[in-house]
Amino acid sequence: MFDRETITNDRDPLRAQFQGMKGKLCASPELKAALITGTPLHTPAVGKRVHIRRFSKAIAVYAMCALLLLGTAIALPSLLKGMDPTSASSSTGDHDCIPPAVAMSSPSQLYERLLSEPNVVYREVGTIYFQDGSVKTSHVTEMTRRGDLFTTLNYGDGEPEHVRYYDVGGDKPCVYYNRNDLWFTSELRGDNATWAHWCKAYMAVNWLEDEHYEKTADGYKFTEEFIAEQIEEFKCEDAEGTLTFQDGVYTLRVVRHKEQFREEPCESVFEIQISFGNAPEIVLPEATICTHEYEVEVIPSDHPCRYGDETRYTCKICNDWYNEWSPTVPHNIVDGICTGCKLSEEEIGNLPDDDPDNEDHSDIIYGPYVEMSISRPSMQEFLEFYTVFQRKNTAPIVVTDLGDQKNSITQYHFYGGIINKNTFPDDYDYDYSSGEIRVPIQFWYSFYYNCDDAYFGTYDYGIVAENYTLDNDAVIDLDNIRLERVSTGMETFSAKHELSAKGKKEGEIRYYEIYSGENRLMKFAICAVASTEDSYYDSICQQVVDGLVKLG
Amino acid sequence: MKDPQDDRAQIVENYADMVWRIALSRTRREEAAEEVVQEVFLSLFQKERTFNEEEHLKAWLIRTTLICCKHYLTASFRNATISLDEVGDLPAMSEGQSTVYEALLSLPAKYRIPLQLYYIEEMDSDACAKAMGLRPGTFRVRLNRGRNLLRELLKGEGIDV
Repeated sequence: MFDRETITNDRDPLRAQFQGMKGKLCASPELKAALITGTPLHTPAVGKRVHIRRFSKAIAVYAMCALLLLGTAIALPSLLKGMDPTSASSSTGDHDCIPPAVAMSSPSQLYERLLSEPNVVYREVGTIYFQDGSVKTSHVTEMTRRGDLFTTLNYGDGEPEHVRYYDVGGDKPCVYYNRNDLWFTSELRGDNATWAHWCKAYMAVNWLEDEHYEKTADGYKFTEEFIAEQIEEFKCEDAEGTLTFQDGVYTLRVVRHKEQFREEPCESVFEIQISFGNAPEIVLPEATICTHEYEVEVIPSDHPCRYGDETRYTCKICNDWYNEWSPTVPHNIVDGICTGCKLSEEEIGNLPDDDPDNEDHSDIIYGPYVEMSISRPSMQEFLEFYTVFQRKNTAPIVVTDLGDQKNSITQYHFYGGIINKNTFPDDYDYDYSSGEIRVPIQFWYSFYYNCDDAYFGTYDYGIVAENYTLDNDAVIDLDNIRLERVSTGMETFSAKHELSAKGKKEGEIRYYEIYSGENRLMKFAICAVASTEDSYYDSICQQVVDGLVKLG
Repeated sequence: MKDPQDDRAQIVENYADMVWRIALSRTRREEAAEEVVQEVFLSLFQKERTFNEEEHLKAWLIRTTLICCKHYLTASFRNATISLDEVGDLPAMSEGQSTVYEALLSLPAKYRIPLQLYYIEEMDSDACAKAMGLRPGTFRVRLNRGRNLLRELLKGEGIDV
């Protein structure tokens, strides 16, 4: 029997380079002594600061979500309308939080108003009372939309933290961002500039972290290390980036010259110009200021805390809180424990085993893990795929495109293919005892191409099929499926969408479209795959893609 | 009666170095690494966690270390000007090893940690993936990319691997 890892190790010259290094990298005796005696060597980082930062981040996320909704709203007005702002008030459940003193305008309400009322400043003032009682933190964020200029101003602890101006009008969208009194401009150029590309320009403002730039005799510059990292980010199969510096301006040029699952050559080129400089000369028109105040006490709880129509969850182990607007942190809180802590607890067997029968799953063949991304040079043709399918043979394939969400800058993630009652998507806890099989699809609205760093909201759907069999010969009646918003216990609003099967049945592939009112939100296909052979799968995917394109 | 401090001492003896190395690799700051180490062991000892197997303890420590590092780096966002210079004096190593370690630290965290666990902690890839909460395939991809990056860096330093 060959041991692939052993063979690899023997042939791996890098291993020799690390030989013996372990013994030389050791914690200090003082630190070890401190650990044993329980005497702190330094004052450990306290939760207070973490929470403050987390809240600042949350505000930033809200602001970014606002932008995101700005984009999605263009294509998905009905989806926005579908967010029922009154649902919060009708929600029941244990409330472990102090209810808001003043009803807070929800993010969805706020953003809708931002879209419709261009010369109003929306100011949120939040006071957070943490459990220890000693920490009271107020934050303010202001969001405005004045013409094509979208502004957010965030304040942390009463001090201005950062200001951002997003100029979304004209041919050259700009993002201005200040940090430490240094202004940073990110400007998008390129004939093929799309909304999605603009978001990359936006993304660039996140480069302005302290550790990313330094002051030199010639002014501010990004560190070489950081530049190297950025270039590396684009060195993937279908894109490459170059970052040049001239006359104080960085130009990031990205060429995407390959589109997976498409035969015809298609090249997308765009540039983002980034510079350090002075504050932009922006004259803000007079605006009406609307202030929304809220306060909340964060308490570890088995139950979600609600204020406004936001649901907030706290983990009773780590005390961190999460909401539906911060999906990348371990927001799945089950039984009051977040995913991160749950994993830790499971390690030591403190939680019930998810697989009480302790069955041997070694026979489960994990299909290829595929992430497909397709982007076209123009917004009208913008198309992006992401599929993740990971289960045994006969796993349904779910492929979709952005369909009519052309104006959104969406990274699409989905998870598909549940076929065995003992297997379920790693990221969800579904109850399969109901006699239904669910193929969850998760929309990630994200500026990021790396899902590890995605920050933004999600919409979870489940394709539900009833009367299926729970064995490896799973049968799904493709004529009898429906689409549901997946409830992870975090939903604060709901939207009704109709599912319609369209087109002829092509082989085993069935095409569906999802409508919200009269607007098609997305289209997708489902089919059963009899083999996990790459070539077979690719062939099926190609057929699916062709079929989706035919659907228009 | 067995002194609880003896148990602690044993665990510290067995794992403090590992936790410190991972924290140093992730934060690239010796001071930060020490804080993280304390956070991790504080969490371990305060709740009197019990582990069925040594491997469980090890996996828990690694995962908790990475989580604490993330919290630390997030919390110290404003002040985090992390450069290699701030790592301070590296422990005494041969010149070649110092070069390799510095090259490792200069890699993005995404690739640094897999390499750290695989090469320095000498864990197998499945255990590394589990500790990092990644799928094995994902871990191997990162490991491989990290290797390639490291090779390139070392090549620049005249070390051909």
